[in-house]
Amino acid sequence: MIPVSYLVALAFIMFSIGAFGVIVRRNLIAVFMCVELMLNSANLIFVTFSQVHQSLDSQVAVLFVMSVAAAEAAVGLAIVLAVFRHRTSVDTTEVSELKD
Amino acid sequence: MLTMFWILAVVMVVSAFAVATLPNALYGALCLVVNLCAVAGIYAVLGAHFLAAAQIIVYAGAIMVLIVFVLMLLNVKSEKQKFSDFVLFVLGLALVAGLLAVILPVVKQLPSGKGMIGQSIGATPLSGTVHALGVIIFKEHIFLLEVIGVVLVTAIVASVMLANQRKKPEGSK
Repeated sequence: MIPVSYLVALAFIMFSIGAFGVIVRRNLIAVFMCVELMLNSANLIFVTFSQVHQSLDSQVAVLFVMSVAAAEAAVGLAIVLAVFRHRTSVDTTEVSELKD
Repeated sequence: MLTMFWILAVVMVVSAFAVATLPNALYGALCLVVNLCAVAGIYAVLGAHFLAAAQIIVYAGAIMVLIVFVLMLLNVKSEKQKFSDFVLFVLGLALVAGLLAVILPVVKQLPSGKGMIGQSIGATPLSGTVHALGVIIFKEHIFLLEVIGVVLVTAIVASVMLANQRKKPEGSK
């Protein structure tokens, strides 16, 4: 018997750790991995409430989130490669053309 | 069941924290593998067996191989200055504090709480087997499945386009 509130709290904690990493990290790939953490915490909420509502629809949603995450990984890492090719670094502070 | 949950939860939080803070991104990637496997374990405990398998194959397998491969390709050294500037660090901490302030009222209504959030997931949860999920996907969500196929093809074409640019003579220093 796992209380739903524990699972929700766990997903929230993981989400906030991921959000913290996205804001604070400078390495593009590290930022990318923190985004994966946030996606996973959302998936965990989906699975939890699929049990609460006794319906498999949200597990299907998790499957679709996973495939979108795979597509995102492909495109995101290609962008990281393109950035690295231009600047020989993956530092977020160096990619700031749109800033000024 | 609850013991299993606590073990996996501790592993998840510790490894997630390691992903967000370790200066060497490769160690971060290895911790992310541990984290994703722990999430798969939680799925299995919750009865989503197919999702647990898919999580390990797709996330901990395919996506992490891609990330580690790119890390190896770029050969990025660990960051000397790990975090951006101080303002962003404070902003991140403020965000985490705000999110925790949202969590606390949730956690306060522990098992005896009212409403959906106060329930417990029973010893025999709804079983998310391949058969059950497959029937739902191919009967009710067939259109979404087609859309996902289009999204994946588009993503692959886009990533080939992005990664296959010729090197410009003056663009790289």
